[in-house]
Amino acid sequence: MSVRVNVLRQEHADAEAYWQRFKYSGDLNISVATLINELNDGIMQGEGEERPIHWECSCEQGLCGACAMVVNDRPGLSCQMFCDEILETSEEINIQSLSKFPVVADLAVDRSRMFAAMQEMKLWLEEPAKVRPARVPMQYDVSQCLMCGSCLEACPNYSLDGIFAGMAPAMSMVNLTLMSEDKAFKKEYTKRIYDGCSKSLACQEVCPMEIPIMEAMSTMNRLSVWSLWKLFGDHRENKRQAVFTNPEAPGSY
Amino acid sequence: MGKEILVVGAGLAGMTAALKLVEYGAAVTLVSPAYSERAQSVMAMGGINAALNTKQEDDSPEQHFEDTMRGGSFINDPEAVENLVRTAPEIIRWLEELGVNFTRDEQGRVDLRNFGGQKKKRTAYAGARTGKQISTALIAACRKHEAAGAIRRLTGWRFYYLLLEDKECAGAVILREDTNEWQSITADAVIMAVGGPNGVFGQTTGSRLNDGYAAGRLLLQGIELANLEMIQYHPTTVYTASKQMLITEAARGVGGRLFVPKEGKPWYFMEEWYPEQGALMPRDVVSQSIHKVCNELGLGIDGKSYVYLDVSHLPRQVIDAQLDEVVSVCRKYLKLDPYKEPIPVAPGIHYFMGGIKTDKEHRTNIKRLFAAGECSAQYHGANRLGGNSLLGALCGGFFAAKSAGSADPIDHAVANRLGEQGVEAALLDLRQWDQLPRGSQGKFLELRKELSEIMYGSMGIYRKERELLKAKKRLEAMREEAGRVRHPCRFYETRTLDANLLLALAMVESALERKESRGAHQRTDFAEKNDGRFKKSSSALYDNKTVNIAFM
Repeated sequence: MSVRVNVLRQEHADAEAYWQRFKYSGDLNISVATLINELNDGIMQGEGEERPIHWECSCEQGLCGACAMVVNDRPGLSCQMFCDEILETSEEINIQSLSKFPVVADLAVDRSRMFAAMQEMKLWLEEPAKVRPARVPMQYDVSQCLMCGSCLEACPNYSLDGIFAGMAPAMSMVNLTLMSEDKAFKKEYTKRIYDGCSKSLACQEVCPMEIPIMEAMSTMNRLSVWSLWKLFGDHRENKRQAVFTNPEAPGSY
Repeated sequence: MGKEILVVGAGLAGMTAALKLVEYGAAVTLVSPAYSERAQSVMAMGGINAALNTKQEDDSPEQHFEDTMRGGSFINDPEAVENLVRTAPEIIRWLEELGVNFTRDEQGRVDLRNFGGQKKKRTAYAGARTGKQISTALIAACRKHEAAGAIRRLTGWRFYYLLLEDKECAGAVILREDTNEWQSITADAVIMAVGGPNGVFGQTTGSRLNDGYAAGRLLLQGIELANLEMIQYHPTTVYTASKQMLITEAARGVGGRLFVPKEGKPWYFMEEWYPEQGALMPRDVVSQSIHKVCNELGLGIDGKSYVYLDVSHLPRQVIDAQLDEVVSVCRKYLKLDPYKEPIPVAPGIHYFMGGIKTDKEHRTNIKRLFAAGECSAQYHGANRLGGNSLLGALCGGFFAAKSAGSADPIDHAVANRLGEQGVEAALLDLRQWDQLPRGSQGKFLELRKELSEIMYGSMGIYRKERELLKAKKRLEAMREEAGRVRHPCRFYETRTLDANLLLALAMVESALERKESRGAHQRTDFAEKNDGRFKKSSSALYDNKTVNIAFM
């Protein structure tokens, strides 16, 4: 049995994009990353000087985030999406680059904006990390972020030029907040994360590391924005956020 | 004015060197093909060794030294290992300050666990993803200095070659792979932190970005490499369609057992052969034992070369907390449930103990050139202990930064001239590549695949002269053939094949010349250790178009 695979090709940043159709008839119990390797071997063995599919790849096992792309309309890591599973609900496999970032070539995109935003948001520690064992599990979870960009692709609010930085930088911010001062990143957080997030939670749905983003954000909101227990003493500062507070919510301070 | 230092590679060794150099007031250019999140360092699972002695086991750096030397069959550099074990506790403290989320014990201290080749609990870890957790912290620390301008990151650039004159290094020429742009970076010193040469074999447990280009190119440029025959086969890797994937040593560290069925019952061969340490013997010993079980005793699963690793008897919470990565690999790629079933494992290439020959200060045979991390050889000898690779990367970063940071200022006029000449010569290379015969990409791919086959065939766990000689002859011919083929659109890929073939040849020649069995290098025709002749490092130097091997 052979399967149709469509790949969105683009020779370089300024070139026209086009769909290329392939027929693949090997083992289907493979990841999309392996499939791309197979297609490229086929291209290399073919007549003429055809250009192999360009893509980013490092670990090939879901630990580095390099190979994030969109497969059958779903963003994720190509090394973690399996052909046989995709074909359970679709006749074809459609592979394209993340659309929120500029294309470098074929499936490789320029994700530098994400990293630049983190620098603008000053995401680093100014003092040695504080170790509070109760916080370590959450710090660990959010530190798993691969900076792959899948969450930004799925996000209805993120755009390359927008002020909203998205959940990838937010995870770093949660980590750094938990190990320093609760209000250390408050201003940047409010401006670049909190205000722009419409809580679709598509990010959590697609995160390849299954980071509990919702839990991380509620922790961050509690620590950095809401200041639940100071609410009554400081109406002015918290007026806007007060509508979201739930007096039943457990607070730890 | 502060020093200007070029660091090639932005994994843990490169980032550590950069951070330390900033402390010494240097301006750092940090060059890498991809973001640090993509570096192989993030794949290191198990942990990082330090004799913190918090487990009432009376541990000490002296014992860490003993274990490391014994694990490496005593061809590691003892002075360097002394630095490694003495600096380890300081490194853990440094990482704690940077915010690494180490797993904590009941008292809130960094927890320690057992790892192979070491009788004491000495391996600090961060859940199941120690390398990733350390990387996250170092990336944030680097970011601060990037914003301040002390670290200039150039991401998307490949090392092409060193700027060299009279055995002195003045910087490097780098290539932007996507656009074939060139740039020369002159520097008072260069630190190579490019990782191990996975690309020579392909399908190793590591990252594809560690393609082995740099080591081959450095050999061609007269840099001395050491112990290239010492290649670690990790005993527990699993086969998948794209690569061998690692099942961390932590699986055995927390009580996982190796067995094969024998006369209808599981036979725990490691526990029978090595009652004291069992499956936690050093990796070379475990891999050789698996080889023996499968190839000599014919007891491999389904008549093949793999055995079972079983963790299903362990408490569920231990697997959940410490082996979640193992569970994820098994479920996703093997469609197997390790809570219930044993995992079929086989030895696979995991680490290169050999590489750029460096001393305890991380100096090379070239002035102003230093190396750190997996690409440099000094700490691990003939076999690396689990938990010593992250330590080696960090410690290498510390010491290489110290040495590079105290280099004399370079003569800028000379460096600039070398830089201009370097870029001109590189442009010429690119033009020559463009003139290579078109339509040769099929042959290019064939050579790539053949290289992999030759290396796995001749440089396996057990090696013999006949196979090695055959490999040598074929590799020499392939170097000629590779000069006439090209990748259809990637100049760098074409050059990587050339560099890989030279490095492969040097690996095979090193293996040929070490006529004994030691650590990761086992010869069927010289089955014994020969301390009289070979309790030394091998050294490979390229001169007059040949690879010369010596022992020193």
